[in-house]
Amino acid sequence: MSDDALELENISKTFPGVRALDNISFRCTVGEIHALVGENGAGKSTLINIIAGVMPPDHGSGSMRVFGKEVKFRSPAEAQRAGIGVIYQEFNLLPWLTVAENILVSQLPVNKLGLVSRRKMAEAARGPLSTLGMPIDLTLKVIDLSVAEQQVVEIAKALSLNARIMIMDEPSAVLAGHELENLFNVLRALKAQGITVVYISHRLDEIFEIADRATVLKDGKVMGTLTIKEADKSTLIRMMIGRSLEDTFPGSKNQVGEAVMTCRNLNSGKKVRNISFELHKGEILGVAGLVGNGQAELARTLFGIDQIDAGEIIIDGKHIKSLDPQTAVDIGIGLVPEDRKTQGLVLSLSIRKNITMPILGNLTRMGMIDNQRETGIVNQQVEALEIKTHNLDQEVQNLSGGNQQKVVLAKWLSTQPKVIILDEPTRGIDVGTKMEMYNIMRSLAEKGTGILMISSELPEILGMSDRILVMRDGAIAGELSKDEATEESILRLAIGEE
Amino acid sequence: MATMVESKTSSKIQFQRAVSENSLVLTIWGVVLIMMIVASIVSPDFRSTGNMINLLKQATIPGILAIAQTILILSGAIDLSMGAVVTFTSLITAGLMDSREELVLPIVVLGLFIGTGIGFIHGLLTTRARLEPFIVTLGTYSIILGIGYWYTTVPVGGIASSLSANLYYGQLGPIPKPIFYFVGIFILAYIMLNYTRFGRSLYAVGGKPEVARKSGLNVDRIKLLRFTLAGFLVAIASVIATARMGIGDPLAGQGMELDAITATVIGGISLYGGRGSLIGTLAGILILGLINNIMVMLDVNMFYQQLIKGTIVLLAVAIYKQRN
Repeated sequence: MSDDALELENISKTFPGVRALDNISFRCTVGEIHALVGENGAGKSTLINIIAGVMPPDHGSGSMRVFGKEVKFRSPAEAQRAGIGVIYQEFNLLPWLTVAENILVSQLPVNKLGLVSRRKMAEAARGPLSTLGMPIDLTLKVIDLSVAEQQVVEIAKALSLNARIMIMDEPSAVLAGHELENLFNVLRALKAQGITVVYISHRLDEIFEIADRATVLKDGKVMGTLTIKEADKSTLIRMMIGRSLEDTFPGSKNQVGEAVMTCRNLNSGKKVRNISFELHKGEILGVAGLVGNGQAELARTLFGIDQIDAGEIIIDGKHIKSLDPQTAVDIGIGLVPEDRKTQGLVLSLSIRKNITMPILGNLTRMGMIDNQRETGIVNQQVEALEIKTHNLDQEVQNLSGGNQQKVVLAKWLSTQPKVIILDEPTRGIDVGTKMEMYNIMRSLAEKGTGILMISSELPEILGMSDRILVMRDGAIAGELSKDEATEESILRLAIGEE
Repeated sequence: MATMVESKTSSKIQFQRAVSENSLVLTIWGVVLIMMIVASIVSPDFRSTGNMINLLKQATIPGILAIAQTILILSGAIDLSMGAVVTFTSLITAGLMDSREELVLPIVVLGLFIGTGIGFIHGLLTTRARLEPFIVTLGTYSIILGIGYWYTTVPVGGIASSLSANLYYGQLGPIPKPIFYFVGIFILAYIMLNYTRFGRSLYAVGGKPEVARKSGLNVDRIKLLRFTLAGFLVAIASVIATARMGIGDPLAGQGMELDAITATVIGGISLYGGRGSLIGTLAGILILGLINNIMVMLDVNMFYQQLIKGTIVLLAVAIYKQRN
């Protein structure tokens, strides 16, 4: 018992409509690097948030011990005092302050006059950095550092707060290939200091290189813990995906028609590389891949938000080599973006005003909006999608997540698009609404709309797609027909495991 | 508010909803009403028709500026240069005109051109050069005043008396002309904001320009137009103000931009953009006018006016914070 740094027993966490964590038990021994793996939505982030004191577990569920002492964190500060440091993907650094100031931000050393002492600060900040074996100039401003260096500063900051358990949320996701070795060195240095590391990553190669043990999470449950030396990759993959595909998806009766949109060697920035595909009338084309492999950027490019560097999109016989959102709307493309709150909706506006935003031009006679026609269109969408509201003039910020997502969808359906791009269409919405969304997508496809569905949830990809593209590093790693596709075949393409 | 089943929506429930959804605007109009009642009790003169007409007449220039400011703030911008434009227009037009009757038409056109042109430049600087409206208008505020004071620092020239008489001091029946301008502009702006595509686009751009762009709106054009339109309204206010003064006055527009912002804020327009109603701004304009009017009636020192204005702004914003 006494050599456990972190112990969770029967921890559960329920959100409205979702059981994010279901009786989780999980322990890390002192000084180990413990990988936490699982698909998107498996519950990793929720687990981190509970360990870090960001949110409490369900009342009365289980217990958590840190170095043998039972804890109930009410705030991140309490978790910090108990010796837990969290390195999120988004760093909490002050870009215009120096490295030393960032490391010591909450405990700046002062001299006798009560002024910040630069000398003492340099001494105090040097300690954690040398522990990590990373000499970074303490006087540089954080904004001038590389991402990898910023990460080191973040870790040093946690160390200076006496973190004994370091939780790292996909630390490698933000790093370039050659920076990875530095991260591993830092991890080894932490281990040498007896610090426990909980390492979250998708990338199996990394886990096999650096971790001592791995715990697999899936659908909010612990599938098991493996000792890495005794495990192999296929066992781990099987544990990650070993879910029975629930019979929850509406069956496809689609008659797939001619191509409605064709992409040829599309390139944009670094994350859309040589993408070619055809999307057919009435087809749901799934785009799978691990998060951050260019799926979101592909959506942005197809909708004209990111600029096309090379290649073309062919829609309606028109060859399009440069695109802006206005043109995209005009030629019949709609985009339901990933983050509806920041990209899909104007929260301060009403349901009505959000839905008709892209079609104001059609609703206008002599500059005036045809109120009756507008109400008709909005009502029709609200009824078809069963948006729960008493009033079309209700501000969308007062709607539930699921209803907000429906408003974004309604907004694009009102344009009667030929192609609709759905980026993570069911993220963060409850199971019931998910089912509704799936049915809506099916009936849209049956009416002949071409649907490009980007999703990192494999069951959704498998259940909904007529055909699947798998993306890796901004390119298409492979295409799978509905019959060929399994979670394993998709994951293999996505990870690059042959 | 909980969602309810639609089957039996009684008119009572509808009324309650209407109240709760417009509680902000109702609150602010409640304040207007209370101020009027209190004023009627303290000073019988207040109730007189003459005083009411006077109240509205005096609200014309700040009112038009507040409407312009509302259009900008709603759509996520602001204009700090309004007062400077009023001053500048007053100096240049009165200076050039020098009371010559034959110059009435060209001078009015010039006056309208100055304000509209400056608005257009604001639009260009915020879209082409991608500068923040706050910074742009802070800069032009200083530049415009600088040029004006370079021209003269003392009262100058004169406005042809026929212009002053017709534009500001004239009446239609019992009602002074300025009230017609104010009411007319208010109605047009109200229709524009609530019933036209452009008005709707302003709310969208103010609420979230990214989303507006991704919904196919031409955000840059909307931003250019809103500044030009606001500039045109400022120009109208400038010409009326000049007609009222009768001379070029270096202090003509002093502080006017701040009063316009004050009225807008009291009216419940969010400084973050995208939320608020012109009806609220109207209440804001009336509240400022009432403070002034009551203070003059009661012969209270002008300094108290500033004090009360500031207090009301802080109270209003604190109340709105609670509601959202």
